[in-house]
Amino acid sequence: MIEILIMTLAVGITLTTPILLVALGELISERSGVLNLGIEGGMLVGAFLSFVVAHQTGNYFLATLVGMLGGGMISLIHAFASITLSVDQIVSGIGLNIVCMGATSFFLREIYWAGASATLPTVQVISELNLPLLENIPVLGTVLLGHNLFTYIAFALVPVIYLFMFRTNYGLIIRAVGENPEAAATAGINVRTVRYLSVTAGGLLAGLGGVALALGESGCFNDNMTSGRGFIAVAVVIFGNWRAFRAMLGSLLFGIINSVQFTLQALQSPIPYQFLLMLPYISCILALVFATHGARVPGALGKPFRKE
Amino acid sequence: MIVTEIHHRKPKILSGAPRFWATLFALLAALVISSLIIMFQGTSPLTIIRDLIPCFFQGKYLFGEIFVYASIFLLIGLGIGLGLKANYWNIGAEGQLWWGGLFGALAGIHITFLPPVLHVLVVFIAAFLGGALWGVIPGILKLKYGVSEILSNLMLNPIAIFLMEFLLWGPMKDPAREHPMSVPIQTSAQLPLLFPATRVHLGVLLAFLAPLVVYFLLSKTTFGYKLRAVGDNQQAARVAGIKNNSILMRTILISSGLSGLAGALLVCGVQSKFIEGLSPGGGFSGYGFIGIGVAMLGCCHPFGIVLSSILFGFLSVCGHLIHVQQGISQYLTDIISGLIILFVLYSNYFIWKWKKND
Repeated sequence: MIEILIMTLAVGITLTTPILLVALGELISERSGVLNLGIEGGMLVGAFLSFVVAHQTGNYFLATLVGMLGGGMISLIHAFASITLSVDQIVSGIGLNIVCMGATSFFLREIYWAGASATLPTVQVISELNLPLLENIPVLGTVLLGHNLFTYIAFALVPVIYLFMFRTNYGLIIRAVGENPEAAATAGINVRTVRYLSVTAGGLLAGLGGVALALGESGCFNDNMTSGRGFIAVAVVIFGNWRAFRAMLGSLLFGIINSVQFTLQALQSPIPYQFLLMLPYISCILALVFATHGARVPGALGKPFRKE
Repeated sequence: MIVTEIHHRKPKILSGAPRFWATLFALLAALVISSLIIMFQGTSPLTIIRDLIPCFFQGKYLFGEIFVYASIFLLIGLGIGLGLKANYWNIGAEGQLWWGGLFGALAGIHITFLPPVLHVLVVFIAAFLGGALWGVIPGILKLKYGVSEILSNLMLNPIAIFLMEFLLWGPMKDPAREHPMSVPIQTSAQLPLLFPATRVHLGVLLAFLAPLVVYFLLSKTTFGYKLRAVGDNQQAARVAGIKNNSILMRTILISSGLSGLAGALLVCGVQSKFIEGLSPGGGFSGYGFIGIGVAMLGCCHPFGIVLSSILFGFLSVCGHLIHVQQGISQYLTDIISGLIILFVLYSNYFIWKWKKND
């Protein structure tokens, strides 16, 4: 029993990784005042490109790089729409997701289609890393270690992004732009440039989240394989009150819920598996209901900035 | 009430020359990009057009198909457009369509004592209620708890799909069939075909009456006036003595009920049963999402939505045709509908510039 629990927690941390990376990206973007729902599409493109590159070249470093750039590109389009064209950010995000979903499924067939019955290729999942000494700690060692590189990067990024956003001048500038762009502009900050950089940086992280999903978790690519993880990440940012460590807790919550769901499936619980698959989405809605108390939205979130 | 504070800009609903040119620009841009994708795939777009045209002259079937698709898009688009007029984003049309289909199918299968016309009417009412029931959840979450309807709807869609999958593989499955589908609905609930050699059924005709009703509701009734007032400026509407929440709730009910009706059209007209893949996609794509593009291209105007739903119906038929003829994946249709949403949105910028220069 205890082994199952430890195993569930360990898997939960692996499942947390993509959501955490995307949530951190969305956090930067939203702190600068741009709501990016297209992050789901960016994640999907990141997963797709990294899978294709890894499968064709076997070079995982290149695959990761290309996946990140793919996610960054999608967010750059979103940045152009919401900053330069200053159009509705929600529609831009939703439209981008539909295009990304269609495009990844379309090109997956263009590249790998070999008849209806043929199975899609897979790649080796990136190997697990064990840190010496620490792995000998009982229980904690099993849960916290033996993960892949992406997991360590994701969790290491939490304090990095916290320090960057709340303890450096650059972070202050981003938050100022997201809180009150007019005041920031008066203080001589180029609001548009800051927003472009923040949204694109968020996109790179979303792409990395997709890479972690494709190369760190599953080793393959299916149609719409992110299945809403990007939207869950947006919810995690709200749940986390736009703060890095609380976003990490939110991501962990979803990772572990998802892992519990898989464990219950594996244990052949009497609950039909469709209801277990609903769990992450239901808990996401519940989390949003509870997040509404005492939350503090960046003042200019979703509002375009126009120099008159 | 935090999440609702996230700023939504009401989509610009303009008429006249700028809107026309902007829409034309959007369509052309989407066409150019999809042509580039087709060229990447290795087929010339001109070949495709050359092969497509004669198909539409080989009898009525394909013409009929355009309207069979359009009727679905029309009902969903009307619902989403109505919501947008009140500044409510009904992105959950996909789930509401499935719930409408479910309720419609249950009424169509288990009610056995009704004569044909009355039975169809009961099925429609059931489907409307089914859609509204699912649509009311994000409404309550928004009005009572301040949860953004966009995120809650995006989460409710896959929840609905998983539930339907459970029902289709479990309690509702026709044991005689291998694939997940229910038993056929009673013949008294099936919509009769209108033209021989097509799939155009009575529901298609009825769906094309819906924009008249919505138009009347929006522009000739007090409710429609209040709805538009709430959509334009909530504070001003409140000052004018309009009960915002009650108006929004009624808008949400009608909006999601219309998506539910689309489900009934699929169950009673096209499939005659509740079946997996009623709307394609696992809760993140499908007819409910195409409806967003339909509403936006139609500028949220009931008659504009009629035109855009026919266009999307045409695109869907073309998507099927080039899949069969050239082996090009049907996901091309998804890409095009996404591109249309994006370019209609981008064209708002040019309208804004145009207005500024005037």
